[in-house]
Amino acid sequence: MSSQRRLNVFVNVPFDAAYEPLFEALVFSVFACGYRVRCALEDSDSGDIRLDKLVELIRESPRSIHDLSRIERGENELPRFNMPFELGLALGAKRFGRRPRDRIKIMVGERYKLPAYLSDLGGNDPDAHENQPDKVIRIVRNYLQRSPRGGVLAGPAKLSSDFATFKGRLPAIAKGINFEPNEVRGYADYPTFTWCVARFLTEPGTEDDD
Amino acid sequence: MAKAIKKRDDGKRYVWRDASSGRFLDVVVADPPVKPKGVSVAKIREAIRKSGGGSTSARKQK
Repeated sequence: MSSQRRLNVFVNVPFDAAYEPLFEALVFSVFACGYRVRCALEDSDSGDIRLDKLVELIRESPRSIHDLSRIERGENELPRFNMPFELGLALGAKRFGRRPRDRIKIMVGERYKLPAYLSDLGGNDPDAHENQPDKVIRIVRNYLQRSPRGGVLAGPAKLSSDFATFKGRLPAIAKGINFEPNEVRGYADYPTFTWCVARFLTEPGTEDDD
Repeated sequence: MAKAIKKRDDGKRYVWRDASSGRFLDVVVADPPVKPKGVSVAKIREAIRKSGGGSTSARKQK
């Protein structure tokens, strides 16, 4: 496995406004653990076939995180099948693509509800985030367990604290690069947001140490 | 007061103090796959520095 590919974590989550705080927490924790997020938002080339793009992202990612928490009907009264579909692609790659070492994490909104709407995944033990960013951070951190080099990861509380610090400073960071605060967000400008996360994690802090 | 962390060769490390051992630990932070358009990464780094720095409270600038 190439050194770059082993860092990739494919993220399959809903792209709606209510989910954005959870998405931002997810992105932050993946990078803080030494990995990098791969998701459909990274490519704005509308000439690409969406399915081809998804297949390529899954092909390049030995790890993936899937959120099945959106089970309500959307604004058009239709259910959204994208997340279960992409989970199926990842499971298919693992089973039939000679990739048994792929690791897949399934998140849900509420524990114990999954069998009622996706009974084929019976026996899996999804993690429930209850729409709380701190719980997403804990789930991601515990799923990854170790850094890509096998090192110890910061604990969930430390990651949550640093995420809160990052969010608090993001308006000033946005201003510093001539953006409005609401323009540097997980969904509004995904590439800029991820680079802000990655660079924030590597800049020395200013807090005193004991 | 903690000793300053030695400067790393690649400058892409997220450093923190392990609560149980008290030791400093770190991970290498990966670059995202797509660079932002219309703003340089150096400009982002400068903006973060001016905003008060990053998240790594264990490190203190000397």
